[in-house]
Amino acid sequence: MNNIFFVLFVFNLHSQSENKLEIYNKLINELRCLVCQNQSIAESNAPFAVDIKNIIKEKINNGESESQIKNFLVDRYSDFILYDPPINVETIFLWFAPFIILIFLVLRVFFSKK
Amino acid sequence: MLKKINFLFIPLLLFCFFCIILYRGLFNDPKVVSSPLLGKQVPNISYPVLNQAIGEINIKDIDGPYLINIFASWCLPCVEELPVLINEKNKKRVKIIGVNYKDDPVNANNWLATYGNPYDVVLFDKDGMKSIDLGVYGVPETFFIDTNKIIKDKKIGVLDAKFVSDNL
Repeated sequence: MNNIFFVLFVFNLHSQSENKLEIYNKLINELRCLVCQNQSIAESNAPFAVDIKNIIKEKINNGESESQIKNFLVDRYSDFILYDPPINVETIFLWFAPFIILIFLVLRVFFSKK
Repeated sequence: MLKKINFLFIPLLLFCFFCIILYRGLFNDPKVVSSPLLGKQVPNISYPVLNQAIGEINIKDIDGPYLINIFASWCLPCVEELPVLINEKNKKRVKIIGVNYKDDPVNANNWLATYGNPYDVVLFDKDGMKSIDLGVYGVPETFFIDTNKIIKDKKIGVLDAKFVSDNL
């Protein structure tokens, strides 16, 4: 039943605009379903994922931009809802630790050769 | 010789470091997502009242401290936490606002009649869309709102007796 509704509504979006559909598909694949973690909103049929899909649909049809919709969800569900974590104080170590370790190892190899 | 010994400590330290991180990870519940709304003003949400055809209550208009408890008749952990809420009701330290989430009013009324009603008022969110402004993604969830109407704490899952005491 959910699937029929989903297909109908994708067709509806499709007829309205290619661009809206693209934003929709991009967003639902980039967002995490909080109740069925390790699945994106697109992959999940959990009630939460269906709600979020409906909100995204509504907001796209109201002309809101991709970043506005993301901010709306992050304000309520934290960065955890994004599969691509933003660079901020909490994640800076996550982003740059590999480079720091790499530099350390390069220096280590370089100095041990002399 | 001395230099070699020094370097041998590095893998060991790294090993210990990762052990600590991974060990701590064992006790993290990934289902509990910390809310970005903590420390912020309670949002403006007007809910209809269960069993009342007209009129809405804006949770921002309620004087703190109070609890917002998201519940549903189809939710088993909600039955489990109900004694905690009933106990809290008898202590009269905080108001308890229930939000009946994605439910049928008939089922909700039966549920309250069967298991007990700890709520000062029961609000109704038929499709769950209003509660998204509170960052709700499941039931049960409980929010503690302090006297300044700031969301001080949030409990995802079954409520424990400490939750209210810790926040008062």
